[in-house]
Amino acid sequence: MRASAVLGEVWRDTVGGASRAVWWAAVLAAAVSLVAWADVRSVVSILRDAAAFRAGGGAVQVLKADGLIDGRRCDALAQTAGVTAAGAIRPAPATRLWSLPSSPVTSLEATPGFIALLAQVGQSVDQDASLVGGVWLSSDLAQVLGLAPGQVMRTAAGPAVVAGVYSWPDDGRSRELGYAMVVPVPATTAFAQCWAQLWPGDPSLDALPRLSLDGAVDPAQLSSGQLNPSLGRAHQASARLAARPTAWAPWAAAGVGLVLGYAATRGRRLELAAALQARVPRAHLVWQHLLETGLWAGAGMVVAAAGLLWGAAAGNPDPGWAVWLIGARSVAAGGAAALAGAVIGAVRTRQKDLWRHFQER
Amino acid sequence: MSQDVPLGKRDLSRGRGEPAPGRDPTHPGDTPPLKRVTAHGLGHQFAGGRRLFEGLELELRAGELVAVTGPSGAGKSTLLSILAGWTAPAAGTVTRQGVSHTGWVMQNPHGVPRRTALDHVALPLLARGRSRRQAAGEARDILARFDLGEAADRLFKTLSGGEAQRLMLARAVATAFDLLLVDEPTAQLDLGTAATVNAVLAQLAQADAIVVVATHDPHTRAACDRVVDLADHQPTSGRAATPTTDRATAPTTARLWEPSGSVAPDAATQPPDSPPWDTESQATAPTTATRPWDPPGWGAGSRT
Repeated sequence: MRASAVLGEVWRDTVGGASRAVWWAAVLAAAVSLVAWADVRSVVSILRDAAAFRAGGGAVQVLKADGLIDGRRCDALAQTAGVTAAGAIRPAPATRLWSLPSSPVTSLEATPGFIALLAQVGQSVDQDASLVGGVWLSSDLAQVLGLAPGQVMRTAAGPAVVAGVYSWPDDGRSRELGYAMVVPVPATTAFAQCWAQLWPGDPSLDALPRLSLDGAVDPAQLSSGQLNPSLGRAHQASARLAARPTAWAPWAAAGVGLVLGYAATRGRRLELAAALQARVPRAHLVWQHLLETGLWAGAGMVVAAAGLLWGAAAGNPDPGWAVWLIGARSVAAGGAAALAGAVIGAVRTRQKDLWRHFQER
Repeated sequence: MSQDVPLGKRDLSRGRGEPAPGRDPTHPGDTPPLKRVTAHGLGHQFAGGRRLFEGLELELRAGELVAVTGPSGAGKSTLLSILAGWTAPAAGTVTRQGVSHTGWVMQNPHGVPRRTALDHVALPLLARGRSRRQAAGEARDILARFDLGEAADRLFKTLSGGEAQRLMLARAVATAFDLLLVDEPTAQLDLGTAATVNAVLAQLAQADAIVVVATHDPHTRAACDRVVDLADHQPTSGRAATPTTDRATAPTTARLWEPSGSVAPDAATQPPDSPPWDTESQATAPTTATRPWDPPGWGAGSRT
């Protein structure tokens, strides 16, 4: 049988509806979407929990050692693998504001690295990106003062520009920054605390902030802990991802695809048996049904993969691409297994099926 | 009836220059194709059942259209199955010579609902290497012979019962079987529709195909060249095996069987999983075995 004749049969069966390509594409798309979505939403759910854990300060380790923290060393921790941000702070004399002369405002001096960490831990940060320097206010304080980023605040020491406002919800985290002003200073001096956000959480790295200590320090002078212990010791995102029940989704999708490919081909066994009796070589028949299945399986995969874009992105705190790839593995497994099922179905068909069918009627 | 068909038309299913199976291409035209199915002392009964027929002697040659008739339950379909190699006979042997492709047309027509009649007939031609254009041209000619010229471009699902059954016959011709077994082609049709099938039945007779039609329809029987009546081979009749009779002629005994001479049997009985078209798995000589239900003296094809 010529290759063009095989392709012609594929085309006629597909366009004419003999292979019920639209139906099988829809069934495959629906089935693998169901499986892939279950997995993707499960992953998104874990990522959302992880993001909430990070945003709540659960991943931030705080080392307190008054006057013993090297600001530069602390900032440099952010370059370490497993540390997403790090910076140091120290208390500063309370700032007296013209608008609140009777209530000096808690002030903290912070390294540039700390300002970067604030953007990750301080939820809903509002920043005037055009400003270099300037002070940061907690949202509670900014609301009382009626100030927004870019505006100038009058203090006893002179005017100060508001560079940004950070939200510091009362969610169990340390309240030190809840009603405070953070003033960026060079990291070259000694600080009181070193904060480091460790992600993904690895308990063996919890002691990492100690690298910011300036020389040997008596352990009695140190204390350390989570910024927000109410969120649990560690999130264990990696472990939860690995242990999620839907991690088996590609196998489930492959099983579904195999059954569909087989069913679609075996459902046409009289047609296949008749083709064999019409002296169509089996290899050519297998190719024909592989290609016909490839067309509807390919269409089903495209539809499922397109739908998965939304499933991977909706509510995902991270870029959806990585999660989409996780779901796409299920889609690909389902489509590939459909091809395998079709081949098995075509190979298993015998001319005898035709005879048997009519004998059994 | 088949004599009215020009040879050129009969050979439409075979490509130009393509030798018929069994014909020696180096000596074209000097001998008829060596295709023959011979049965000796054929008898059959189902396990625990009554005997269907016995003492059947047959020689079937390419180019003739043979009807197998007999009352209901006489074993017509079973005989076809034995000739095809699907069923091992309880007694006797079947030898097939030059038969590598066996086809079957069932009582119920079957096809792909959303493919055209033309597609159904073109497929076997494509399978043997024709281009789409060549196959379509030849298929249209064959369809016209089966009075389906107007139906060529209609979908299978729109064909009437008679048209669909004629399409099965047309496809069988296009497939160029060496041995074609047709089982009750009009059994599912009303009289008028059956007449349209009987009218084209003679088109099945091809120079290089053995065609056997099991039927209880007298009109189908009349359309055949020769009749094998299983009523003449009933075990209860007490008669010796009688020869089959020529259709439409007085019941003179025609020369319907003869020793196979030097013809080497290429297959007799086959294991159930080896279709007759699996030539590579065919047995090269008949083997016999006795089964528990066989009366003394009955041989049976071995089932392995």
